[in-house]
Amino acid sequence: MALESWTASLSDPLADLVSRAQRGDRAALGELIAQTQGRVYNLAYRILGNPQEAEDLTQEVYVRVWRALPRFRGESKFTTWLHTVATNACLNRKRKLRRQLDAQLDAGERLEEIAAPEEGPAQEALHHDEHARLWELVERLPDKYRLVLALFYQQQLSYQEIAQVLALPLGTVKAHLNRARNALAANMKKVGIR
Amino acid sequence: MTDCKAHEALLAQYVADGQPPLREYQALRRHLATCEDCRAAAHALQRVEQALWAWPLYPAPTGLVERTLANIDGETPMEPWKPLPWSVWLPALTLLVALALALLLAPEPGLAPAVPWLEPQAELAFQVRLPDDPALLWALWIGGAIVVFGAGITMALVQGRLPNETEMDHLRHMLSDTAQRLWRLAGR
Repeated sequence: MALESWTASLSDPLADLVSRAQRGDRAALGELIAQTQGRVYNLAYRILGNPQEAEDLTQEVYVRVWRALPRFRGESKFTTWLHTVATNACLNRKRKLRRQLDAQLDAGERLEEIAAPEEGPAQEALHHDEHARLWELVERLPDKYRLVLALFYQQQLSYQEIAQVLALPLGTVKAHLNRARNALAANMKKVGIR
Repeated sequence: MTDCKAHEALLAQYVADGQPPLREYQALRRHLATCEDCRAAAHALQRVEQALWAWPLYPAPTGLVERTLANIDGETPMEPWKPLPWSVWLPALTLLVALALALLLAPEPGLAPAVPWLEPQAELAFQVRLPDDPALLWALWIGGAIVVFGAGITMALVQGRLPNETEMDHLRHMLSDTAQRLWRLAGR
């Protein structure tokens, strides 16, 4: 365990900031948030599909991280731990939102009014581009596939790190990614992206 | 077609890995050389790869760091993990041992405690005659177990002096954190 901790701290570029933040250095904490907030915000946006929800969740994740920071022992990279906290928080929030949505639907509201997809600036600018159309297809994939795609391609985590974050076997992570890739290739054909 | 199905599972990984000339992909590469459908599928997967690597990040909202730090201001960090002091784990260990012994030595009416790993005919030095009434026997045994439990817990909590709040708080934090982790795991 000590060896793992030592090797993780050697390969973690944020180790110094983390250690200073653990000692209560507020500037280091601010710097740590500044360097990593883009990852958390994007992951939250990908899963929740709403900028306001993503921002609220990002703040919630850092509050959790701050509270638990003294117990982070550097056995994995800080970002791997951060992704674990963020992923759990995202999935919990998504479940809660889904329950609220179900309750609203039961109350007679129409799905389109509640779940209209919001477009980010990148999508608007590239709306007719082939890539943009494919990213729209990604948004329609089930959560578990969208999550592994976001962790691999956007957050650039290794297969091993994703397995650690999601507490899944390595083979399952690869299988999820390959299924998502195949589904996208098949859907691309269906919607006429040539 | 059967060949295509057999290679389908590997194709996405092969393309994602950058189509390396590895031995594990040798059969797939031979198949691709002769199968136009699979080459088209590989081409589609290649475009998926390119699009996914170009998947843009949303810029984080301006002022998010300041808002987050303001949110954090009222929060108290948890205590760091520390190994439990002997004054907590030793009584807890004795309690576990007492409980294990109580379970292993569950009484049978009319006999001294039965030790399961001994032959039935083995003589026990401490064999004593117990009451024949099963209800009384069980009441004695349960009463004994409760006394052992009570003694262990009292030792763990009091240690011959007033409870040490820091240690107890620490124990409580550890228990709540473990319960939360298990809950999250179960949630998955």
